[in-house]
Amino acid sequence: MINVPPLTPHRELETTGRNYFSWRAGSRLWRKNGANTVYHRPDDSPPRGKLTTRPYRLARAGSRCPFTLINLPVIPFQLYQTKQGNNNILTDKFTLISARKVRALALGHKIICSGDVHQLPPLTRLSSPKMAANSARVVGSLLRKSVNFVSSTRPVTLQFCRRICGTPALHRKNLGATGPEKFTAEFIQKQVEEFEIGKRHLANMMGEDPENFTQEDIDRSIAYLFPSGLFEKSARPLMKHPVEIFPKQRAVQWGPDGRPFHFLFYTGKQSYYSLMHDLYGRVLKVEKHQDQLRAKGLFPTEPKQIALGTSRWLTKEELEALLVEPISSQDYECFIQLMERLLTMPCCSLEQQFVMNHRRQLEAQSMHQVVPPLQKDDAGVDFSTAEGRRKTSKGSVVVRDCGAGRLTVNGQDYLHYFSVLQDREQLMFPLQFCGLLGRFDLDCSVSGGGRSSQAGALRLAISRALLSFLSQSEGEAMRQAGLLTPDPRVRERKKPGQEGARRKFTWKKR
Amino acid sequence: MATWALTRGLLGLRHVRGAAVKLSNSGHQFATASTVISPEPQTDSVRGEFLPANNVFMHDIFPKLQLKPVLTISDKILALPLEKQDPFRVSELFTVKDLFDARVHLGHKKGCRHRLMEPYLYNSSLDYDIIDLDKTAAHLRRALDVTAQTAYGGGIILFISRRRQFCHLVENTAKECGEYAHTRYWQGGLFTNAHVQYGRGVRLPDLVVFLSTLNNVFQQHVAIREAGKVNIPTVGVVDSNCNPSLITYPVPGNDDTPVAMELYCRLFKTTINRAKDKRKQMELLRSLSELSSSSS
Repeated sequence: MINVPPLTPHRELETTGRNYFSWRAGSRLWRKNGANTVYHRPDDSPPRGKLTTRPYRLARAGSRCPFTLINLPVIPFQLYQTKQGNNNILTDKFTLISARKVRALALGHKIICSGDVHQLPPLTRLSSPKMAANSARVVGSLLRKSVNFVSSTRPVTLQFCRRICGTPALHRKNLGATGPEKFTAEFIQKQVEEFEIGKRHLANMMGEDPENFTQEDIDRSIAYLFPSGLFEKSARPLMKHPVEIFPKQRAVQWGPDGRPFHFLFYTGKQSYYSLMHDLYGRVLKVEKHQDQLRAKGLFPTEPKQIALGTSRWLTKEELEALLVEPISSQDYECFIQLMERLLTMPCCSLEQQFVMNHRRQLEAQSMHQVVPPLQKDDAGVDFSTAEGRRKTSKGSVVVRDCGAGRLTVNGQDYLHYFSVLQDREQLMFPLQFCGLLGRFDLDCSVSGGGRSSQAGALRLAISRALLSFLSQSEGEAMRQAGLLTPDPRVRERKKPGQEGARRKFTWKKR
Repeated sequence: MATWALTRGLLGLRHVRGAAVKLSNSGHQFATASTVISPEPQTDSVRGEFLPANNVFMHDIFPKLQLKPVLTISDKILALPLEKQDPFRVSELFTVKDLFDARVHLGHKKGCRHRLMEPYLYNSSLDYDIIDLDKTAAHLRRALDVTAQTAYGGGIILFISRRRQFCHLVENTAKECGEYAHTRYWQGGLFTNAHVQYGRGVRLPDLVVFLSTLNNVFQQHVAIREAGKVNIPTVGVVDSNCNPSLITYPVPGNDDTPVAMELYCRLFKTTINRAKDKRKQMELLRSLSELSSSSS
């Protein structure tokens, strides 16, 4: 933590109620009509670093900011533009601290500020693994009694601890180089302890029982204390157990005397190479067995093949998960090649178990048509129920084998409900196709969508319900006619910059 | 001993020794056998034949300095093999006839010959180079002795060979003698960038044994240079097309024939196992004598 002592301004901040200011870039401060004050570095030394020339500006009170105002003195030190071009540690958002946050802060807690993330330090945990790993994260500021601001004339001293943002090493994205030492077992242990203590603090703050404070309670509390409107859920402040945040690290690979446990440790990819070594050993074993059989003259003419069935090789990701080690695509291809080579050998059934361990069953490709069960009601009449959907309409139908040929939709007669012939044709088509027009009674209910989509939904429902009355071949005929295929077409969204989903605005030559 | 000397503020002094002690090299501290186990005593006269000529010793620079190391039990155990000639009897493991039968003398053709291998060649017949087996035998004895000394001292031995035919054999050899092997693609910086490749606090090998010094494209294996950079002594089987200059204990011999490779693997495995058994024996004896002396 680097404590920058508060630099007092040369002149007092004039408080005319305009206490809200925003940190826009800052090099020199300027004065205008007495509304703003000028601050200089006490020694008026030339600015260091790459400065912007945009001045500070004190915004007017009552501006459209929903937050309470804090009378923060303008700290007269230079804000340097970092290589990334942002203006540094203190973004606009930081100064706009809501009352709720302030209440928490007023209890004497520090803030860790980095970008949009404000947490309850020093004990609680950070928003993302990247933040966690960033060894130059900003630490704390201590805000003293800053609740009543609007008319306060006394500038609140603000101690800032700011990040030294000069070295390129800190901007480096490849944290793997600096990373591993951070995630030692002791570090994780420390984080876990901090998390536990922070959880208790949080429970106390929220007035709840620290003993029975679950993860949902934590999430709820954090969402309350630090409301964030960010769309990206993973960018919102969160407080989770360190085990979930920090990536799984492998345990130390060597004993107290420094000798590694695995004989292939020095290759760097011990699990993968030991798998390859093992696999090659099995290939040699199978070859030796074949040679022995041949020598004895017992070599089988029709060797037993491994029953692969409907299985596939492990994917690269699955293999990585199995080995707990990252592998390159070339490594993966070598592995598959060697496995295939093992499979080409006649006596490979010796290693069936090993091969099947590295294969996964394929999920059922084809969706079998689920035939709704044929039920009997109290009157002894066969009936079946089915549902169907089309666009935003959902319909369900009960098909009864009465022999009347009546159709009821939502309690009304279908003639009244579907006044257009086209819709009625849609309803009748499945029955007409199967030649069962006058045989069934249909009791339909439908909701959502328009008339055409409701008709389509009901058509699908009727077709599905009819399956239970038909044989396999007739059902297959229905499928081939397309009666059992749900129509996947839905309304395409309108895109910005266009009039509709596809229609563009009128092109004007000039 | 070395650490004792360092604490006296003689950090500027650098030693380049054979297999004995490894000191810090340009600020990098590598945990070595000597720092983990207590350091070996300065018995140079016995090991003089194994040391390169350009060594600088403390008593050369500070002739009046009286260095009286305090020898612990492990020092005495480690000193035992240094008091005898050929303590592990490696010369009994093979004869020149065995080498001949394993076709160790067969080199490559004259066009492939490396200039620096000429001292090791006996003759060439029909343009095929023949390696001098007497020299091979002497070098092999020395190499096996070094390996045995390292294994006796609890050092890490890494077998390297980039020949695909013998990859499985070498890995099995390493597994059977409890040491380590690397017969795969060598990622650059495995030794020089060890903290990044393996993690902090890794212990690098104390001896690297090359069963073939060339890689798949007939260029010198990168590990030879890397081992040189981090002061790890190397033992290497050098064929007539290889460069023996950077290898600490070269063994001129054939590295292409399966019989020869099996011979080398067998020899190294036997030596290492023998040395480790000897060490266990010594420790057992010492612990027994300790017990008896403490009880009496």
